[in-house]
Amino acid sequence: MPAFDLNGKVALVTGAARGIGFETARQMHARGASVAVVDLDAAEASEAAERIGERAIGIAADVTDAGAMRAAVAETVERFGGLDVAMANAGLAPPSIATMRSVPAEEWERVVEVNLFGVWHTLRAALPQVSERKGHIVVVASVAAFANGMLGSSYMVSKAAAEQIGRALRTELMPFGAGASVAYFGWVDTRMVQDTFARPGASVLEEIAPDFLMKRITPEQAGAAVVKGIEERAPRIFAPRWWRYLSALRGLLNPLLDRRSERDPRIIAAIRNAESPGAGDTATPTAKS
Amino acid sequence: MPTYDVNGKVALVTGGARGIGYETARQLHQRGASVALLDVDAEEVRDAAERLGERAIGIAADVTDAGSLRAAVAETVERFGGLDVAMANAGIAPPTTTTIRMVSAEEWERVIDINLLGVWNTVRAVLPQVAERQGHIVVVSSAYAIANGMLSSAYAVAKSGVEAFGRSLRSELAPLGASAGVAYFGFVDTKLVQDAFAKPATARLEETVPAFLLKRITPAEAGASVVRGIEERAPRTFAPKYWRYISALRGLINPLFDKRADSDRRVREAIQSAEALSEASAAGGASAASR
Repeated sequence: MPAFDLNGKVALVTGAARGIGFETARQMHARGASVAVVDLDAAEASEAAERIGERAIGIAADVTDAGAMRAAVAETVERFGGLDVAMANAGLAPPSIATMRSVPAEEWERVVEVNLFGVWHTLRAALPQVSERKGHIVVVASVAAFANGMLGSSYMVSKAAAEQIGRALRTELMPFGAGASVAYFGWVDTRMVQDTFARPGASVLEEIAPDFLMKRITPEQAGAAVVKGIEERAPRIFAPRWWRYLSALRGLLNPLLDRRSERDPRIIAAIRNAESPGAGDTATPTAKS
Repeated sequence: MPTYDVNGKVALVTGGARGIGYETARQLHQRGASVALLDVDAEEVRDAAERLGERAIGIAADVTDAGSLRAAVAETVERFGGLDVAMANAGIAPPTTTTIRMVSAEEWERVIDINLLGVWNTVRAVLPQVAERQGHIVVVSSAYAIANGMLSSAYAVAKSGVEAFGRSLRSELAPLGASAGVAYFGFVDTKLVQDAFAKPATARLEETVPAFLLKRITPAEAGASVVRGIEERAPRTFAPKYWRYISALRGLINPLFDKRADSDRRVREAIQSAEALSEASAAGGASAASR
């Protein structure tokens, strides 16, 4: 018997039309939860909900719009009678591989808007219900929360921020019987990650990182890790699991890795390349689900 | 002889009218740098610059306004011929100590706007000059990037973002011969910290924290740690210094500390009292509005 039984509960997941969000919603549903599939595109959200089956609704909402998130929660409550679990999962990868100097300001700010303020709006909308019903919230951060963010700083900055909001939230909820988890994913084989690796300049990642770091897990595996984390009310969810150990050692490893990166000729070349005129011109913006 | 000599350089400090920002500017100035102090209040920042004397100007600028920062950088360059060092220091404490559930949304978002996006705006404005002149940028994070942010989440969230920001920036500047550092402070005896400790919920949380963490250092000590960091082009500066060790062990310590907080009676009481105060003031505000 899990610490928190999903059977009969109501769950809402943002960015749920695809990828990790969809898989988490699907698996919670398989355990007997009713699910609200929230995503930007109405047709995609409804279609995803249909694939999940009964006790699933699709809702179009933009996480950067606080009012739209409140409406999504209201619709979920009206349909299913309440809300117990929320997963703030919607996120965006930086549309181009660029430095802080070369990135367009709007692009950088948009990533923070979605990945940080989007989490905030989702939590604020869901909290009255979730805290009252002693439910659970999952904030999707990333192993990027403690990785060096060069060439994609908006992502790392927003994920580091998301980690801190999840930690504080857990501490503020646990004394009252509700809970929260921070989820950290490495590379998961989602459209967001596929698009990232298709961008000009992304090959440097594969060159400099050890092979085991680059191995992708499936969205099913990532979703399963989240469902297990919710059932256990785990403070932290890591997938792949060995990231737990890198997180534990982050304070010791990061200064060493950062120092090495400053002298790595491949990284220096990648940064110069990203800042050279015309870099990133072929990049296309994409949203993650 | 330091790695990076600030004598003859030009430095810009946001939040420079008081506290750690002012002290850092003062000590840079003392070592021969020209300094531009930026702050929101025009009069205060001019007074502060006057106290420093020659080679110092005060400029009114709001870090949430990218245009006003670009103008401040342009003014600095016009006055002193360039810009070598920048310290993104301006920040505010959360006006109310309370939970994510109860905090006013505008208040929470404003802390992020100033403390995180303000750093972004500042760095974007100074980068062309600082990169070209192979200078150094300091972004001011906090021990709150490491500690649990309960009841002050906006502050911890922003400061954690700033830390990630500074690490990325340093790596991206390295190929150019420029550099960046992240400054971490514990409790410094500034107006920001004095105000925070005057709040009732904070007093309860104090009981849950070991006494040595609460000991305040002076703004002068904090400023000295930043100046030394600039001279060494250090990736990280910590004041008090023991935060370096807490930072190194954070991945191991934080899960244990957080776990203890889950069931700590004093933490629960602090949260309860903070939420009760928020409820009372929200009810007061609502009845005032309905009258």
